[in-house]
Amino acid sequence: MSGYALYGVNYYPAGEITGLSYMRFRAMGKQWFLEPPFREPPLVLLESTPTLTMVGVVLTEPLTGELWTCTMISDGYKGASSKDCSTSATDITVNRSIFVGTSALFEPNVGVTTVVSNNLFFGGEECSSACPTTKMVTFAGQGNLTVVHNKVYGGYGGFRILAPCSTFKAWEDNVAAGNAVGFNLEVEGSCGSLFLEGYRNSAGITANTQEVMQTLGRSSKCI
Amino acid sequence: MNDLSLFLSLSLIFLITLLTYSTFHVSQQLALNSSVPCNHEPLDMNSGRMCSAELPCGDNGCADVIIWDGWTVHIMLRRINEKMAEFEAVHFVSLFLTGLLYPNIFYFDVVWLEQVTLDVTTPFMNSLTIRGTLIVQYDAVEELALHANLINIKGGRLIIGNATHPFIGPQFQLFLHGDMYFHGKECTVPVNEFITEFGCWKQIVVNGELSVYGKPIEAVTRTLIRDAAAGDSVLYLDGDLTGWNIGDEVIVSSTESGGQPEYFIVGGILNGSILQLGSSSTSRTGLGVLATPKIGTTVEVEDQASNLDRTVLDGRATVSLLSRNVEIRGGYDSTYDYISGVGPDLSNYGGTIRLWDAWQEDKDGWCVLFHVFISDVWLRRLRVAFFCPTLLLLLFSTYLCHVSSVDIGMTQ
Repeated sequence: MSGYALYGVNYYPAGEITGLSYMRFRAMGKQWFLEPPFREPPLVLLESTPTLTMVGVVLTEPLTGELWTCTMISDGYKGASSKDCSTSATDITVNRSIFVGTSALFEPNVGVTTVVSNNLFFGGEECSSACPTTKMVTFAGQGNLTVVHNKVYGGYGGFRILAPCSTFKAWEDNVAAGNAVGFNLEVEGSCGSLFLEGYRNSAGITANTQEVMQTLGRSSKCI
Repeated sequence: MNDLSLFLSLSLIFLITLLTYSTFHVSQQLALNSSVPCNHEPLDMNSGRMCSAELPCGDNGCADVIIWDGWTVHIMLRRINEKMAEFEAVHFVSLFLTGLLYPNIFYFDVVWLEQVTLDVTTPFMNSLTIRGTLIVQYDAVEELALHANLINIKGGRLIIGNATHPFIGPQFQLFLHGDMYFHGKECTVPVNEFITEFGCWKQIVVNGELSVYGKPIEAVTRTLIRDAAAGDSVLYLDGDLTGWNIGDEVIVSSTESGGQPEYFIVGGILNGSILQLGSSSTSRTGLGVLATPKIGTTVEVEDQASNLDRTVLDGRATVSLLSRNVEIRGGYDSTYDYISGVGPDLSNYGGTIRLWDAWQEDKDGWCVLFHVFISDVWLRRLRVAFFCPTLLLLLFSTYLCHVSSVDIGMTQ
């Protein structure tokens, strides 16, 4: 990458992951037992990261339990972002991937697109203790969310929905199975008209909304 | 004319001095590294076993001499070029240069290292700095691995396959090991002034490009089409298992409330879509049989009273392939690292890929003469290459000679 040296100064570009495809993370993340910033997820992205595409990725033997959520790094790293490493400004595509013991937060800003399709999320005992798998997959933000053909197994909370209905451009065949709570419509503005399909969750749905429509539950103890 | 000759002579002397210093600088770093004794029990790089007088490790013993920050790709290349005798006892990479040599060590602002192809397994390095492009040979015929504590993509690129040429070799593994004396300790300080700017954290730092593309897999997840009972070792799936091989690892989801997934090794594939389970890492017995029953059938429901149209309830178990031919590991495995000697219960086990914002730093060997305005950049420092003291001495000497010459002329 020549050309970044000029007048005796090295100019280093912002980091970029041009693709993660059909690869596997093992034993990634660190220091789950410490508070941030000492605890780090496997991926520490920049707020300004334009795109991230993950296809066919596998993450097992996690040490943190979060995929990319992290907290502000105030100092100590030359060149590190001074802002929260949010993914809300990043166009994210996660497709055909498998995450074990790892939660993921999707919260696109207005104009930002997130596509989550054909993925499996496993909770349960895969992570070391204190891993935050209590809320496996969270959808928030005001951008464009496409969520199709995903399954969440065995987490404390399966799908956590904070985003309003206008955010969901597509929602189809998303199944929560074997979780303590299949779907958690956590805030009053959470979209309550998504088709929620749950199997053998302890509680199919918990909601803080006025109305919940289109649910389908099987062997869940309560809705 | 005399002034010009003198100037050129001094410049020549200066360049010779510079090159001598640079070479010494490199040699000094190498010497430092080579003289570092084994400060913990040496381990065999391949097997992980302890070395001893009875069972020496031969060439692979004492691999921890490479745990120093000076070990960068620059040094590696330098070593290959000069065939340094002191490192002949260590197995090393056969990096192929397809570009020019690195410039940084000579402090010239010339072409950066263009491209290196990694086609063998590296020894254990403390840091690997990538200023140019390091490409893992995408069609390697043997298993490859890269072992390091820190990988610093510093303006360069690390390409482990890309969209057009994914890595299709049998296996590439990138290990972030850690050193038992630094990374195995309690590490609550990101920056440790006694070690490096990265402290005792092991990570992949990206100020450039990271591309990781493994071999595409046609079917990542399949679904059961028959119920399976506990104790079964054969699963009937809803499609062919192209790309799944005997020995691969799969995960089978639970269909019970609060159930745990089960892991198996593929024992065989029959008729393209029937999976024979091999050994299991989650089974108490280790045998390739299901611990709990799995649902493999669907149910259709319809309820006009609640306006529920005919709907398929599909709570079937899934089987997913976990094996990939490219892996990034935060340690040797999830329980133990044979280099650092620690496991996840100690601090700083694991690894992180951290993207950094754009930043800049002064180049070694350059000095600021003065500041100047440039139209497209509001302020840019005008710099000159080489060592400042030498340069200033050169300029001062030239000035003195010029003055002396003038004085002599006046006297005459």
